[in-house]
Amino acid sequence: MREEDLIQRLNKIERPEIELPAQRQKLRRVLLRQYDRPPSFGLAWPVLPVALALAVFLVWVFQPSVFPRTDVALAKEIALQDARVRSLIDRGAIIKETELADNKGYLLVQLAESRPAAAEGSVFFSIREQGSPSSLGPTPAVFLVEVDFRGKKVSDLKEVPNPLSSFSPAEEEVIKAISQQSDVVKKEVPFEAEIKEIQPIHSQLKLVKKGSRVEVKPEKEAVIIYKQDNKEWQGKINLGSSRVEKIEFLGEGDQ
Amino acid sequence: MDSREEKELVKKAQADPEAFGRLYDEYYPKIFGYVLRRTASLEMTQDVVAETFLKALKNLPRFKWIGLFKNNSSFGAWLYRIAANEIVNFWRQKKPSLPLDDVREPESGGNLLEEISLAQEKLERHQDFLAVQREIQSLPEKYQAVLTLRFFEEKQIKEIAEILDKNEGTVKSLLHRGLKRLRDRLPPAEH
Repeated sequence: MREEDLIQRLNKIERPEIELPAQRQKLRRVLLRQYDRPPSFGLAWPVLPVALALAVFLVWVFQPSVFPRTDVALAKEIALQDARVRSLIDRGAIIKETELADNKGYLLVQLAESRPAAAEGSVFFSIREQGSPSSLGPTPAVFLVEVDFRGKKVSDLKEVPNPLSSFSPAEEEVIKAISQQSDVVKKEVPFEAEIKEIQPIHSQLKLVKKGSRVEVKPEKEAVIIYKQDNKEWQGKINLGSSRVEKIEFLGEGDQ
Repeated sequence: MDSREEKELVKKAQADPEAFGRLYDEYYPKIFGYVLRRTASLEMTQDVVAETFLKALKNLPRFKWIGLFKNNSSFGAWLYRIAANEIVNFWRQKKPSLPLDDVREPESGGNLLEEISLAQEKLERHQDFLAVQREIQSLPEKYQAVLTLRFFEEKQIKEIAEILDKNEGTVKSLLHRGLKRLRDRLPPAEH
């Protein structure tokens, strides 16, 4: 058979023209019902395991540097692994405060043993006995420990000076004003009593967070002595909170 | 339905079942006829046609009018291509994604079984067609597709090239070689 004959035969063939109207209608309904179904994930399914594996891998690789755990407990944990910090703790130091900023932790470590025994309970005793606040005894040694969360190490450790600063005239006026307005002073100290002297005392150091920085600031405190005739009272004033924290009758002194 | 109207319907059909229904009504007879003439099996035709339209529905958002097909019958050519692929999948025994029992199962008061029985009788009356179709089906798949589209669906070379995603020269070559193979197999026609 020649190709032309085959083509002619194929063109002449009577082709079946068959339809299944019932099947056609049923399929139509089944297809249009697909619009009511919630959208399927379609191509997402084959991609899902790969995406999950990639996500786990990325978290595993970058977790320490991109998503570091930055909490107080971790800061202490890292600090206590440092030999210098351990040495301070072994000498009786305590961690007074902790702050977090910019992927770093800051710990204020204070050596308890350096605190003068006489000043432990009250500053008043020292002043009365010694007569001068400047001789209150050695300042408690305070250290600022900087912890680097990314490097998981102590990146800096330095002793923080806590100078016994004097008050400016303006600060003395503020202290006097706090004293005059204090109900405790009004109750304990006679109205006629005069302010004999105002002296600074060793302040408590505090960690203060400023944006991404953490600074050590002293909380300024003053001792104020009231005198009437030969009687003396002593008060402790916190400039930060503008409060008289304590007032005490010291007794009768020499004229 | 003109090309512009069809294009609008395809766009709307992504969210509008009525639009898809109109496209289905337009193309169901053509696709059903093509698959039946390709397979000569009513059972297989039902499954392949169902799978073809389901895949078309699911992939409508990915259908690109310009680029793949450029003539007026682009959506139709896309459907023919899906159907051709589904025939190959069926022969490879791939599991259909549509629960076909839903489509095959006769409805209460329906006449699907009777309809299939009558259609089977009608098909068997086309003995000359079935003899040629049997021989075409024994050829490699690439020849089957080209010969069926050309002589049973009366598609032009250009349309066949679009449906099968081949260039026209390849289609002509396949057609020529397919005819040669078929000629060697077919017994002389009875007159």
